[in-house]
Amino acid sequence: MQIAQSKTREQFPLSYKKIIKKTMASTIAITILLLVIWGFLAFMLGSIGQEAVGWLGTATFGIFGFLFVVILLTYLYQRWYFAVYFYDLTNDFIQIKKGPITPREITIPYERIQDVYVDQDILDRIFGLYDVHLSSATVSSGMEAHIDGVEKQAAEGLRAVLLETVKQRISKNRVPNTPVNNNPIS
Amino acid sequence: MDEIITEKNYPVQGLWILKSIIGSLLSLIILVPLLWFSRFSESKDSEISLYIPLIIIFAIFHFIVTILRRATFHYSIEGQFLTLKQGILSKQQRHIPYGVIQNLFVKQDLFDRIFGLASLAIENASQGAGALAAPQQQKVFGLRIGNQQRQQVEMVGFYGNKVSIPGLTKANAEILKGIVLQKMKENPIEDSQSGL
Repeated sequence: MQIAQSKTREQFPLSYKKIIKKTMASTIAITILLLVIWGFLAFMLGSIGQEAVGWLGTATFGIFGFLFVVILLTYLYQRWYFAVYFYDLTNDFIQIKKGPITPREITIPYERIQDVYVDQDILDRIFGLYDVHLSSATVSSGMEAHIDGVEKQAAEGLRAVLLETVKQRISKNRVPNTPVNNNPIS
Repeated sequence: MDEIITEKNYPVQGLWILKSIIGSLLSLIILVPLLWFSRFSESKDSEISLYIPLIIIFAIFHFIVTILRRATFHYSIEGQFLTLKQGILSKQQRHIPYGVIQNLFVKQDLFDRIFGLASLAIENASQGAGALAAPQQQKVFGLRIGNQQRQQVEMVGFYGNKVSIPGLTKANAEILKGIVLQKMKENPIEDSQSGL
C-alpha cells in the first residue's frame, strides 16, 4: 500500500509496530466483550438443562470465528490507517492528517503551540512506542494533534525539532515576515 | 490578494442542506412504511399516525431554518480581519484577526466523502460566544472510550471558539484553507507569546 510520505515522516518514521499495537488493543477489548457474552450464554444454556449444552459448542465456535474475522478486519484497517497517516512540519505550519475513510486534517501554526508532551500507555511501554502531542489552545487540537506510534529516537527528534522551532518563533527577536509566496504549505 | 474573498467565491453547496436534514428524512423513511403496514394490522395503532405529521412538520421547519441559516451566513476574508456575519432574527458579527487563529481543521465525514464535500473549521482561543466544555475522555489500552465530542451534523456559522464552514466542495475547502493560511503567515501578531 502506498504510504503517505512527507519529509517529516521520512525523517521521523512511524513504527510498523503501531499496526500490531493497535490491532492488539482492539483484540483485547473485543475479546473481553466476547468473553462476557460467552459467559452469559454459558450460564443461560446451562440453566436450561442438559440438552442445551450441545448448543454451547456451536455458540463457542461461532464466537471464536467472529473474533477471528474481526481481528483480521481490524488488522487490515489499521494497515490502511497507517498508510494514510500523514504529518509534516513545514516552514510555517504543522499539518496532521489521518483517517482513511473520513479524513480529518488539522493545521497549526508554530506560534500557537502551547506545549509538546510525550506519553506512553501500557501497550506503548510493551512495544516501545511513544505518542507526541502538540496541542494549541483549542479542544479539537488536543484531540487531533498528536503523532502516535513513533519509536524513542523519532519521538525525541520530533520533540527537539518542535521545541526548537516554537522557541524561535515566539522569541522577541524573530526574523520578521518570511517572503510571501503563493503556496503556503509545502 | 486585493480582492475580498466571500462566500460567493467559495459557497456552501446546496447539497449541504440535504445533509443537515438527513436525520429528519431518515426518521420519515423509517416511519412511513411502519404506518403503511399498521393499516393492515388489526389493532388500531393511532400512535404512529400521530407521530408522522409531527415529524413532517418538524422536518419542514428544520429544512426552512437550515436554508435561512445558510442564506444568512456570510464570511469575508479581508485585509486584516476575517469578518463573519450570521443570524436569522438576531444578527451577529464577528471579526477575527488572522494572527490569533489557533488551528484550521478540514474534515470529511461519510456523507461528505460520497458527495465530494468537506467542512472547514477555523478556531481561535476565544472563550466568548458560549464556548463548549471540554469533553471527557479516557484511554483504555490505547482505545478511546467515553463521550467523544461528535456532533452529528456540523452547523454552519460560528459558536464558541469555532467558525465552521461546512459543505464546501473538497477543492474549494483546500483553496480556502490555503488562503487563510497565507493570511495567517502575512499577519503574525507582534507579541506572540501565547495568543491567548
